[in-house]
Amino acid sequence: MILKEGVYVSDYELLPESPLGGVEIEMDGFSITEVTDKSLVMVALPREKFSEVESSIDKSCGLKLPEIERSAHSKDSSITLWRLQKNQVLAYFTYEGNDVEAHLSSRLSAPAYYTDQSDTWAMIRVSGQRTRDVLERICPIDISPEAFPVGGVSRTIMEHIGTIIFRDGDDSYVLLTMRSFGRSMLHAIEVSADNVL
Amino acid sequence: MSQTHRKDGGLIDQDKTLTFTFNGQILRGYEGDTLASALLANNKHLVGRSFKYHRPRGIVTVGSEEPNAIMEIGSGAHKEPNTRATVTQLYNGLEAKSQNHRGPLSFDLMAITDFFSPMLGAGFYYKTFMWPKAFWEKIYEPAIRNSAGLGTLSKDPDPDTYDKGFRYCDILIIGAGATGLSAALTAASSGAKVILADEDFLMGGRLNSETAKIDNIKGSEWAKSAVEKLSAMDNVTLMSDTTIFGVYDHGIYGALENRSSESRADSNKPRQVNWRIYAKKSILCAGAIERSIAFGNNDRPGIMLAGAVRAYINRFAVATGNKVTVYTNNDDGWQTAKDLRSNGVNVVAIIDSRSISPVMPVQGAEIFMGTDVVDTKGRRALKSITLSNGKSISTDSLAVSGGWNPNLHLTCHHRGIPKWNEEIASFIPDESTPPGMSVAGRAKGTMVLSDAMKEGHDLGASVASDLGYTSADLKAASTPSVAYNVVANWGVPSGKNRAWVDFQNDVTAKDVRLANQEGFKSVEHVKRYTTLGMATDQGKTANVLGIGIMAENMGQTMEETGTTIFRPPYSPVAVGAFAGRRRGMEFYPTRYTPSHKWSEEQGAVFVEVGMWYRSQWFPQKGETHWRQSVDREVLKTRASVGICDVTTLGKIDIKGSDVSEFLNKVYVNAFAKLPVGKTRYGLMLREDGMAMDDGTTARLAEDHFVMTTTTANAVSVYRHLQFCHQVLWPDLDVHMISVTEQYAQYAVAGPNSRNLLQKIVDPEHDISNEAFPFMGAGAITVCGGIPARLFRISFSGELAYEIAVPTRYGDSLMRAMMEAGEEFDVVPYGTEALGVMRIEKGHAAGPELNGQTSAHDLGMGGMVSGKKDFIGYKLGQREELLRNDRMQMVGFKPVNKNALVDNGHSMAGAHLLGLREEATTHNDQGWISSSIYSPMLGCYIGLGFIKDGLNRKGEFVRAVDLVRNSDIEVEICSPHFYDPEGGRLRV
Repeated sequence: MILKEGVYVSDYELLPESPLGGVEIEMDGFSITEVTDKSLVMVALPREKFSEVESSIDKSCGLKLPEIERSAHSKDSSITLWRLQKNQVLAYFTYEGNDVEAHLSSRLSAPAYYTDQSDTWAMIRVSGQRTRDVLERICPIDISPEAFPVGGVSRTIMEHIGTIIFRDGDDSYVLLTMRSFGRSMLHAIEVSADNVL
Repeated sequence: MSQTHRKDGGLIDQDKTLTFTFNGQILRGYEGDTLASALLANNKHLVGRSFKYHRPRGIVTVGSEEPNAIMEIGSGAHKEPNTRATVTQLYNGLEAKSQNHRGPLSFDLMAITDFFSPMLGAGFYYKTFMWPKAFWEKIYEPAIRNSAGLGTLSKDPDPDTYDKGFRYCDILIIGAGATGLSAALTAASSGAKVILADEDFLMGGRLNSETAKIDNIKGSEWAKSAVEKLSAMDNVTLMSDTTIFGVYDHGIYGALENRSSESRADSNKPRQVNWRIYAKKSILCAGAIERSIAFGNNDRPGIMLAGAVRAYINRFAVATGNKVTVYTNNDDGWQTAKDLRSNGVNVVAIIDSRSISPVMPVQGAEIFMGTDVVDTKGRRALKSITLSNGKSISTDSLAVSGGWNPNLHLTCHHRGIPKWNEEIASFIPDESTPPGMSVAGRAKGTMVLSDAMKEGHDLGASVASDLGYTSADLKAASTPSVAYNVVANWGVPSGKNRAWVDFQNDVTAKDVRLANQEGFKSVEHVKRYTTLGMATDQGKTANVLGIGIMAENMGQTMEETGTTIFRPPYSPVAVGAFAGRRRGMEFYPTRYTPSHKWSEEQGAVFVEVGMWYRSQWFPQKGETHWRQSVDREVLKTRASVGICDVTTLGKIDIKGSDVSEFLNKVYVNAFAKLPVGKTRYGLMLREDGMAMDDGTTARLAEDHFVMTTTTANAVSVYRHLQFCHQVLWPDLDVHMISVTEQYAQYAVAGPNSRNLLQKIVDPEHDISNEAFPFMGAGAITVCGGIPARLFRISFSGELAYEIAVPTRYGDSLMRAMMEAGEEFDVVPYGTEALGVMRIEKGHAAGPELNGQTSAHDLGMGGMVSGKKDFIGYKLGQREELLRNDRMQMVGFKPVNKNALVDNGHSMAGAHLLGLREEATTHNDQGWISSSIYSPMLGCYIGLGFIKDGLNRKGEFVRAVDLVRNSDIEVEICSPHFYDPEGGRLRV
C-alpha cells in the first residue's frame, strides 16, 4: 500500500490502453487515425420525459436535440450528441476523468439515464479525398454527400462488424465498432485502401 | 505467316502487337482484340471439342453468349476453365488451351463417342447402360462421369483476391450500346445520379461492330464521343467490363466488374469486384442476341452467326474466311455480305429461306432465294455446304442468321415471362418486369436502330422525370431507318444428318423431337430431359430455336410453348467473387479479449468461442499434454488462487424505474426485492417453458441492474430483452445497453482470492467476509482510484470474485493481479479448467441448457416462482413438462475409478443404458451432457440426464459411446461432486 493524498491506496498503477494503440496510417489521399481523445456516454430518454430532457439540454448546453440520424453540438462545441434512435442519444465529447457519467449528467442536467460506453467502442477516423472511394467497398449504406450530410450518423454492418458511422467533415468519417472487433475493422479498412488506391 | 486473316482498320490498335499461346502454339494479335478475334485472325477455327460427341467445334459468336469457344486460360493455380474466348480481352502472355479432348485437339481419342451417337441421345442414361444391374455403379456410371464435365480445375486454392462494393444511383442503365448511351445522355443531363454499365471492355455495343452512321459519323465514333461526354459528368459513373448479372429485391442489382488487367499488373489488387448496386430505377438496354437455324451438320468449325462475322470484320478487322457464304431468314443477314465486300472479302453465295426478291445486290455472290442449307462438309474446318436444291457450294465460312432475340434475361429475374411477338418472330418482355425496370431498344423488341435510339433518348428523360429530375432539351441522335424483316425459320428436315440446336450440351433437333415423342410436352421438361439450355451459356443462342422446333413438333404456337425460367446469374460468376474477402482469417471477424496480449506472452493455447479467441489453457515449460496444464490449473486454483478472463460473458446494463418488474417477467425467480448491493442467479426460459439462458444479475442501485449471460447467448439474450421491451411491455420504463465490451472482467478464485484482491482494491472498500458476503456486488475503486465493480460470485465453487474495470485498464489489471498474486502462487487458468471446476461443482452450462431441458429437468424446479407470471410460466405448466419421470440432470461417476483413463477421453456424449440392455435407441435412458477428468476426485465424472434421475441416486447404469467404442458402468449420484455443502464459498 502507498499513501496517496493522505489515503492509503494499492501500490499498483493501472495504465490505460486505447483499442488500437493510437494507430495512424497515411496513404495517398486517405488517412486512418484512431480517435483516442473522445468519451462516449449513452443517454437513454425515459418515456414520459422527452420534452423535459429536450428543454433541459437546451437550457444547459444551448443545444437542440437532433433528429434521428443527425447530430448537434453544444454551444461551446464541447459536446456532440448523436441521435441514434428516438430514445437513444450517444454523447461524444472530450473528458479525461474517470467519472464520465457523472460529468455528463451534470453538464446536461437532464433527467435521463447515463451509461458509459467510452471503452466499448474502437473509434477510427478515415479521412481524405479518396475516403468514399475506399469506404464504398465495405459500407452498404449510401454515403454520397447528398445522402449522408456532415453531422449525419447511422448504423450499419461493415465486413460483418456492426458499425456506427459519423460524418464529421467533408471527407471525414468516424467509424465505431465494438472494441474487441477493432483489429478486424482496421484490417478491413486497410484492405479496402490497398484494393482501391 | 501470322495473322493471315487480318485486314486493315477495325477498332484495334495494329501498332500494339500482343503475343499469346493456344495449345502451346505462339500466336500474335493486337491490343483491343479478344482471344477469339485473335484466333480467327490467325485462321484458327478449330477451338474445342463438343461435350458429348467430341465433335470438332469453332467460334460461333462475338459475345458472352458463345457456346463453343470455351477454353482454359492461364496455368497453375490461375487456370480458369470454361472461359469464353469471345469476351476474354487479349493480353500479352495469355495462355489458352482447348477443352474436352483426350490427345490433341485435332485428333481427339474421345471422338469415338460420335459413332455411338444413336445410343447417346436425349436421356440415354435412363434407357441404356441398364444391364447387368451391378455394372451401373461400378463401371457405367464412373465411365460416364469420367467423360462428363466441361473443363478441369487446377485443384489449387484460388490465388487471386476478390472484393465487394456497394454503389447507389438514381438510374442504372444496363448496356452502353446505341440505346443505352442515348438514355444515359438524357438521364444524366437532368442531374440524376446515373450508373452506366456494359459487359464489354469497350462501350458502344453493336455500334462498334456495325457500319451504320449516327449523326453522320461512324457509329463507333459517335459511341466514343458519347462515352467521353458522360465520363466528364460528375453525376455519372461508367462501369465497363461489368456484367449486371442479377436483378434482386428492393432495387438491388448484382454487378461483376472485371479488373483482371489491374490484378495482372499488381497481384495484390482484386481480380474482380462484385458490386451491389442500389438503383431507384433501371433501364435495360441489353440489345438482342442472334439465333441460328437448325440444319444438317450446322456445327462445323467455320459456321458462325452472321452478326458475329460482320463484327469480326468491322471491329476486329478479321476476315472469317476467304470464300464466305451467308444463310439467312431476314434482311439483317445481307448486311454481313455487304460489310465483307466493303473490306474486300469474297462472298460466294447468299442463301435466303424467304421467297422474296433479293434484298440488295452483292458483287460476286450467287443468290438463292426460297432456299435452305441442308448439309455441310469438312470435319475440322468447313469445306462446303449443300443446299435444298441439291447444289453444293465450296466455302470456308458460313454466316448464319435465324433472326435476333431480344436479350430480355434480366426482365425475367423476378419470375417474369416474356410474350411472343409475331411481327419480329421473337419473344419480347411483357409487363411483368422487376419493379423499377424499364426496357428500351432491341431488348424490348424495337429492332430498328433509329426507333431504338429515340426510345432510349425519351426513356432516359421520362425515368429521370419520374424521380423528380428535369432533363435538358437534347436532340435525339439521327440515323437512317433500316427496317427489320424476318420470317421465322427453325430449320429444315435434314434426313440422316443431325441438326444441332444447343452446341454446348450437344443437343440436336432430333433430341427435342424424341423428348416430345416420349411424352415430354412442357418446355421445362424438354429442357431437363434433353439438357437443352443447361450448359454454361444457358442456351442463349439455342433456347428460342429449340422452342421453335418444339412448337412445330407439337403443332402449337410459340406463345403456347413458352420459355423456361430465367435465373441469375446472367453469365457465369466465379465463386470467388461471391466469397469476396471471406477466406482464411477474414472468413469472419476475430474478437480479442483484454488479456489477449498478456496471454500470448504466456504462450497460452487459444480456442475459438464464436468469434472470440479465449485462452484455453496456459502450458508451462515441461508440460507436453494439455491435461497436465489443465489439471495443474484446477489444483492450484483450488489450493490457492487462479485468475480467468471472463470478459466474453454478456453483460447487459439495465436502468429505469421499472427494471425490477421487467426482470421478474423474464426470470423464473424473483428479482423485484433484490437488495441494492446483491447479486442473484437467474434462470430464463423460452415461451415454451424450456431453459434458454442463465446468469447472475446484480442490483447496483434502485433503478440500476447489471445482468450477465453466457458467452454464446450474449447477443440472443440482449435481443430477447429488447423484444420484451419493445413489443411485450413497451410501457415499462426500462433502458438497456450492452456493456460486455465496456468492462474487462476477471474471475479471481480460490482460498487466497480475497487476499490477492485486498492488494488491488483501495483500502476504503472493505471486502472482508462480513462486509462483502457471498453474492455481494458493488462499485469500488482499485489501484488508486480507478473505478471498478466487484461481484462475489463463484462458478468454480471456491471463494471467488469477479472484478471488472473499464476495458482500457484490462491488460494492466491482469498484470497487476499476477504480480500481486505472486506471493500466493497465483495461476492463470483458461476455459478448460473453468469447465472442469464448474462440472466438479455441478453447475449447469451450455450443454445442459440445450433447448430440450426445463427448469425442473435441471434440478432448479425449486427456483421457479409460483407467485408471478414470467416468460415460459404457462407452457412450463404443461403436463408433459411436469412429469416425474422426465430425463433429469444428475451426476455420473465410473464404478471403476480408472475407467477411460487409457482411452484418454471422457464420457461426454455417451448414452445411458441399463446394465444388461442392448445398445439400441429403444433402450436409451438418457445421455451424458458434460464430462471431464476431475483432478479433485481422481477420475472421470459427468453431468447428464437420465429418466427419473432424481429418484435413482445410487443406481448403476452403463455409459455407452458407440463412436469412440467405450462402455463403462457408472453410478448415478449428485451432480455436486465437490464441496456439496458449499462451505468453501462462504469463507
